[in-house]
Amino acid sequence: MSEMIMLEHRDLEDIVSQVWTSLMDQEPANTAPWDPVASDVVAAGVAISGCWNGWVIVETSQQGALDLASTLFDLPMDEIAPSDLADALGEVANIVGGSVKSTLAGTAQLSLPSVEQGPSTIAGLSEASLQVHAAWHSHPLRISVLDDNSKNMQEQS
Amino acid sequence: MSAAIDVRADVHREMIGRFVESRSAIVLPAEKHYLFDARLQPVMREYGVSDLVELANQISRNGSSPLAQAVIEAMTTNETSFFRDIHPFDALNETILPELIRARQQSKRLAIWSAACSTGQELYSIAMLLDSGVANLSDWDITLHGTDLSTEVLARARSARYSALEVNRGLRAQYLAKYFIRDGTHYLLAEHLRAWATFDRLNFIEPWPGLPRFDIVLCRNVLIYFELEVRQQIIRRIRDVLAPDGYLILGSAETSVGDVQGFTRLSVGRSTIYRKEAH
Amino acid sequence: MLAMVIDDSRAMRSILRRIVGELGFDVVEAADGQQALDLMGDGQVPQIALVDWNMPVLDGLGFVTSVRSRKEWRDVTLMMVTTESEHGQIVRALAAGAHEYVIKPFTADAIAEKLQLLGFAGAAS
Repeated sequence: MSEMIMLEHRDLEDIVSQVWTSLMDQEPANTAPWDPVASDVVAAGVAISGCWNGWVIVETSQQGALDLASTLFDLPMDEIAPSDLADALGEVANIVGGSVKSTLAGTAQLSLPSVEQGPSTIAGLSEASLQVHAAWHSHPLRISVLDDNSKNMQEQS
Repeated sequence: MSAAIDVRADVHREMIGRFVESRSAIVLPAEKHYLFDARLQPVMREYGVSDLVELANQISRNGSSPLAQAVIEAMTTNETSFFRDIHPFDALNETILPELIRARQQSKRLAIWSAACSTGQELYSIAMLLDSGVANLSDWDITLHGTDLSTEVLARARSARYSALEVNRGLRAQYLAKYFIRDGTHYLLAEHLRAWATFDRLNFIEPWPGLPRFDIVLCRNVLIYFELEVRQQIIRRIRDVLAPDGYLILGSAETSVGDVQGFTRLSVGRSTIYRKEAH
Repeated sequence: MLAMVIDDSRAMRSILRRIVGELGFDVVEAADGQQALDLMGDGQVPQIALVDWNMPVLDGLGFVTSVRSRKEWRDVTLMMVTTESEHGQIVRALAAGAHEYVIKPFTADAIAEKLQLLGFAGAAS
């Protein structure tokens, strides 16, 4: 029997704010809805499996990902290789995902992060029940928590 | 152009600083722009106030409004963390608490006051020391009392709920594992430690509510913000609520802060501790 | 003094390297527990290891267990730095021999204060 995730929007905002406070110079600001060019998006996600099954996905623009990687590696943006970018965004997804996982009452595992160019291909992302839209250094950010309904419902039946 | 704006802003910071001082006796130098601006920005955002000029105007129009109270609380907030500066807690754990527990074997009563307790970590750190020490205090009357000027931090102290960032600071992993459970995005302190603690509002320069006799008072890193005379007055009033053999613990950077009258200064481990003098 | 930073994320290793570097440590990195053990076997034995939990090949718990089984590495201080915050898991790590535990997200101050708790003098200026 798997639980539905008890996280509220405010909680996800708190998580994002804390992760950004610890890693970057500045918290993200709330902003207008997510509207980047599809080809410009980079997405990093982790899967959570156990008492609850789903994904936590962090999406931003190419520039946003570069800026983020530049901060984490403490290197100028023009020295960031594609693998650095994937590594940095992946680690951000890992920490946000880990924080989401820590709100679960039962036990669960976090997958290693996976990173995609272009928006995440996970189905139903735009209708994710829990989503934070924000901006950091004027780059668009979208953080989503998505139920794996097929898995969660399977375990209930 | 920007120089003129700065001067104007300074005038308003000064006004706000004077207002805060009149209500709390806490003195904040207006030259510390970053301190003012960093602390006032969240308040201005929450109350929809666009700039310092408007803020100064609003609080001069109504010094008792929720906005004015929020300004006082933001400017007088004390930063705190678990086992902050570690050495006084070592002194408590190794020397002072064992000694007091021995001395109070008959009454089985211990009362400790964390003055300017902010979000409560100082008080709860002591609770953890008491619970994990060798003495069995299950049939003791333990009072851990926290006071602060700000109702907002008192509410957070009462909830004993801390974020990951907060439990990462100063807290031994053994204590994290032993005394905290996860609660949504936060960590909640064990019920039996919360049960020892009470929190109340207290402004040093207003009449104090009734207080019990304390064995230890902690007043760390807050007296430096008061003028010497006010500081000495507060210390006198603290001395009045201390047991005859009671202890006062100040901040580590405060030991050369004027005379701490009516107390003997002791070195305990790497800490300076004050003990109430007999007369 | 030597610190070893063990995490499969290069970005996280880079962050931790900067933090402990600024506190006066020399730093060696490993991408997983096995690489870390290999480096130690080659003579690069740190005074402190900062260890992630989730890593391929050999995870943090496996690394801690291995280190604590070797007498010659008894003085190595082990600090977990991980997203894992389940109570049972924290207890497991401490029982396996980890000395300290930092939950991500963390600040540089948190690391400095933990190092001070562990007796690395002057770490938290």
